[in-house]
Amino acid sequence: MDRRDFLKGAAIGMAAIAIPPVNASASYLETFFQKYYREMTPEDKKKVVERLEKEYREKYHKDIRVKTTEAIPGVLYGYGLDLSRCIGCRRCVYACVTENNLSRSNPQIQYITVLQFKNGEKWVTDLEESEKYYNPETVPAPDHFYMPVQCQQCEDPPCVRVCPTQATYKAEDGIVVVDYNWCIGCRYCMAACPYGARKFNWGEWNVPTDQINTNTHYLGNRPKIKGSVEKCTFCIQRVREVPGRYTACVEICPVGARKFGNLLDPASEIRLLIETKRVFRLKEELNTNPKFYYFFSL
Amino acid sequence: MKKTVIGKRLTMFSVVMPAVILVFFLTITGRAEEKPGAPVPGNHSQASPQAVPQPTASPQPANQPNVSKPLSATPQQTDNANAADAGKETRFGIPKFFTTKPPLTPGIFPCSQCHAAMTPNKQRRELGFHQDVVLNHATKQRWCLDCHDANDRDKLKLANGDLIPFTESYFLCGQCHGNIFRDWKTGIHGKRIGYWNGEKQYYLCVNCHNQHSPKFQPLKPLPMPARPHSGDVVKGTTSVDIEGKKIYIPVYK
Repeated sequence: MDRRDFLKGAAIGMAAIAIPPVNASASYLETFFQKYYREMTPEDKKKVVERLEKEYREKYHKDIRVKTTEAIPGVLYGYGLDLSRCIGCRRCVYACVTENNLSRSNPQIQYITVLQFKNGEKWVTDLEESEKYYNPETVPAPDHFYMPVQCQQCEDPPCVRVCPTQATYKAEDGIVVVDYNWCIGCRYCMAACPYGARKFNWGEWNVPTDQINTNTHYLGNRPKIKGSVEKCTFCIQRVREVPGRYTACVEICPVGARKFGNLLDPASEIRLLIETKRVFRLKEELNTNPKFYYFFSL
Repeated sequence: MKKTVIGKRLTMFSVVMPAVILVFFLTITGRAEEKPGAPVPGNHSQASPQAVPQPTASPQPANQPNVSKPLSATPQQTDNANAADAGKETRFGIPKFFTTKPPLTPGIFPCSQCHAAMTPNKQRRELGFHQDVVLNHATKQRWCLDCHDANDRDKLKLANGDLIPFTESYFLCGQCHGNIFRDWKTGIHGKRIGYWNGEKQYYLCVNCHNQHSPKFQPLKPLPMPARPHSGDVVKGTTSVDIEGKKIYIPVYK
């Protein structure tokens, strides 16, 4: 075979690859050529939302609303968690799973991990010593305490720095979000995150149809794509509204350990607790500058 | 000859270099001093207002907090009728937005239904009625009539003799738990649900704590997460009802 024949063959081969499969719908092509969320015009977003909502209706026979609500100007979300109060009951974990439409199995995805520590043992300096699979009859177990960990919404997020496609980025209101359609599934961000906050969709998204939360956001709890990374978004579909609801984990906590508010508002509970309580942020030495403040009220 | 030249150069080097380094450092520190407000990277002092990260691209820089400004109670956050006395001593009055009701036992309130016809017995004793009430709250120095008014059973009594309705029981709790009361008013203690930037429900002390036995009872934890590499262990999901909210939990094989 001479060079010319080889090139001809290669050209034909490439062309064959480029032609979409026979059953390709317009929706498939639109998905394939969809733009990066941050570069979309409002019209682009509207089109994408219409396409997604149609897709979801066909797939799940349910009207799932996909919002593209923008950040509220002058808002920087912050979170407080009272470690003196947390009893490790895991109510927050499943309120989050329910609110954010997280895959129930294969693999199971949960944004919040509650860690159990023994009194007097190694603690924040060595999270490897913690117990994630504790299961006593009742909590709090004697001589143990608990620390829930989720995305810390860093001001200098290492996950964003490593993303080769910029699919994950920090929004104006401080929430680190993922454009699931732009994510290529390389999982660099998962390796970069010091908090283990990012989860990967190894399998198809699976939530029983009757359990789907139909109030969704493009950057939040909409049905996920296999091979994309997801994470806590401070319930972006709830909080980016005026008035916006508290996050699901705040509302479920039976001991009122979880606090949420605007860091730029001096009268918000998050600002007051930062100013008056003993506060620390997880792995501060990494200079990730989290907006998630652990505190002790006792 | 050559050696001495090199030697001279080395001597000059050893004299000049520290001077250069010194000048360099002076320049750097001088620059840093010019900007006293510049954030020092890595200095995340606890509970300091400077620890609040500033937005890198805030559309409204005017909204950034002025940390030196004294905090004042916003009128939105105070209920003027209630907070008149409480607001004076603290920066924050009673929050306006709570709409929760005290969990009065159905059918038992108003207490005067029965008590109006009874003469108050101030003797500390085993009660014939109200056996569901277990007092486990500083029992040594407390008895029913320290908080419930002997003459008007539909009211609670403060230490100074003032009567307050059951809906304002936080004034009673706040007599001893002053620091908790203060935190509760600002939202640090207790639970809020609703809208973070709008109307919210603010739980009363007695919505979470049993006033007669306030320590939290241990709870059954929800299921632990699936262990990695455990295969397909989730059999299905089931729902649990928590404070009227339906949440889904896994059922493992």
